[in-house]
Amino acid sequence: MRFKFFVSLIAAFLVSTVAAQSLDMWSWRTEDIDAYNKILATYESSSGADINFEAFLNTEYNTLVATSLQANEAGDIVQTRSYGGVMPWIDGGYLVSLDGQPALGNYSAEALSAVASRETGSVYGVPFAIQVLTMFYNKDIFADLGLSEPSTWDEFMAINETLQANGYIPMALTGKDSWMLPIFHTVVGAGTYGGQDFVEDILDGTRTFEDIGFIESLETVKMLQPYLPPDVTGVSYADSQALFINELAGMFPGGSWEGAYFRAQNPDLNLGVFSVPARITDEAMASWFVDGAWAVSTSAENEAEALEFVNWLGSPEFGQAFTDELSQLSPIAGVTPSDPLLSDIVDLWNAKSTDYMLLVHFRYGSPSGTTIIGEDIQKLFLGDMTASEAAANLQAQMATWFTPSGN
Amino acid sequence: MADAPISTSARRPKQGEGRKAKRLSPLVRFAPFWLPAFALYTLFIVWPLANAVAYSLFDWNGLRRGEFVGIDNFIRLFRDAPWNVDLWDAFRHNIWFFVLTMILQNSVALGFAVILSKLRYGGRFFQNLFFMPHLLATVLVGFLWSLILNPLFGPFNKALKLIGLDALAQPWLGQPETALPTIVVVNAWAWLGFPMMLFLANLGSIPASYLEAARLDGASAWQVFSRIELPLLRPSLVIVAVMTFIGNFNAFELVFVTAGSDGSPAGSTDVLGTYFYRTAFGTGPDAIQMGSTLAVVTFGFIVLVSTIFLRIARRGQVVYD
Repeated sequence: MRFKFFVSLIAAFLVSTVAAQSLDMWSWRTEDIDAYNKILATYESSSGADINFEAFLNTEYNTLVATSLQANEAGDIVQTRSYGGVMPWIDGGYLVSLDGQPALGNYSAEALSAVASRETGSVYGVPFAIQVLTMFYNKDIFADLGLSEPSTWDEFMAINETLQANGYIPMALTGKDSWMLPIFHTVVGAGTYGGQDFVEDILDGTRTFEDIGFIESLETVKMLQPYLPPDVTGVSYADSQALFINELAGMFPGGSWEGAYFRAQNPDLNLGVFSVPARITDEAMASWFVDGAWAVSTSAENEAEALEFVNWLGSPEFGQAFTDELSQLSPIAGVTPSDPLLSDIVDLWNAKSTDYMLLVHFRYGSPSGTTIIGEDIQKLFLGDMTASEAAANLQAQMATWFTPSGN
Repeated sequence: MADAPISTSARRPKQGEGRKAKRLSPLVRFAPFWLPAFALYTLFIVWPLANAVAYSLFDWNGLRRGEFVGIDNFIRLFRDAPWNVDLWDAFRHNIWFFVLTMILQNSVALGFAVILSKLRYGGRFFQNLFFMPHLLATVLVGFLWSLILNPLFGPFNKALKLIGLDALAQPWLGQPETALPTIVVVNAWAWLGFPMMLFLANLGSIPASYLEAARLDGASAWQVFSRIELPLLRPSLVIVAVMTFIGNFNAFELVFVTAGSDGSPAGSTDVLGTYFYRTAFGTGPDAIQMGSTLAVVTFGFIVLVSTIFLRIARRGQVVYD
């Protein structure tokens, strides 16, 4: 009896180790470990695979994965950044091409371009999140002052005037943490330079950053300075968040990641979002970018199983669980967020959107477009530079590494 | 006990032991003492340094090493925009940082040290008090001061307005003209105690008979300081200058915490440290090669200048007979 019991125990052990291969999944989201374990449990029970989700410190993640990839010791599945951030891994040949995998059918071409090789066009990851840049507003303050979401530029300016006249800071923005300034520029100015049409023209070289539309978009930024916090270049990102959370400011130009934080800090905050109507054309559009992706590393021991898993990470089932558990936007077709605020943001994105151009297309070299325009907008605010000088500087700096594709 | 011989050679070696000792050179005999330190130093200091030099001589394609390009990366750093523009800007800011620190921090530290050395009571107390900020982590200092200087909620500007100095209530860290000097002052606040301690120790080592003799000859307090104490402070002055130089040219944490990595506002606080950080850990395919090149240039410059400083210092060694 006892002998039989041991044999079956050993047999069961052997079967389980052979059948249930374990996959290591590496991420920089230490704060999301519980949520991921919950999401991944469904896949584990349906496929029998054993997924080992490991999260590493955000700031050390890139270095860690880079060295592990070179030593062929990285996790089977690795979380990657997007655009310029993932290029060294793709160009180095450390990720497995996903061309032909069924999950890619769940994404738009724009979303996949975030993890595609610039030379061959092959796709190397399934994007897990997108961020949409819009204008957040405080619904209660708007209601008190009888304001509603603007549909024209003039209405938008009237909102700023009313908020200011009633003692609010119209828009909470940092001028000190310069990475937020290109975000502000795209939120209030993307429509002014013409959105996606301009993006295509700049990529093929038909137009440059010295185009009048782009200069006007920078003038728009300067025009709005009176409605920003005083001494804006001394105001930090955390200060600007505090102004909005404590209901001292009526609006906050920012990314979809802000919503969760705002509500965690002040659960009573009644949040709404709108896309700012463009100056001159009144056309409103949201800007967006892919935040990152899941990829199969060439260190993966069982590539077939890793590919099967990555296909699931690109499925609507994962996307829905991801957006519900983590309050983030998924780029996977057919996913609808249950959270009303996120759902509003998705509506804006579907209504009209354009690439967050300087991040999506101008982070493939150094200096990056976002760094240059961030510094230039500071100078614009300080009165040390004009809009056309800023545009000329951006053009000159980008020309040091960017070559338009030609018509 | 103090006169007991510490050298083994003072003891007559016994037969046999002497032969053994002769066979082994001191280098080998003392290996257990120097080998661990040497190994650690080589592994964690020399090896990465040599690596950085090697990296800077290659073309990099993402993470993969390309061909050997010799000093092309260095030529690019010094000649091509935007590298050269950023390099000189950052370099200028480092020089400015150093000069301002020498003036603001070290002269005040010297003044405090001289006063404290003359105090009959409380010298020890103030000495500890001034040294206290030095115990705080740099990151903490930066964070505290950015709260204090916050233009919206900060107590510093509130206090200025309260006493009617509204014109002085500026966004100190938010203007290109004031940002770097403000960081220098914060840095000086945190570091003041260290040079002060060195000066105090040096002042304490000057024989009291020198000062007594001078006073008996009718020298004024200023004459005693400028003719006797100051020249004899030369060793600590040089050490402080070299340490300030090295510290300021490696400045990073405080600038990063108070102004971020991109020299905000408008590039006015960009130093070699933040420029390196942006290059090596930022976007772009050049991260490894240009980051290493910049690191090598910075390191080379610091070594060169420090060596010159110390050479000059050695010429003026002070010996009390």
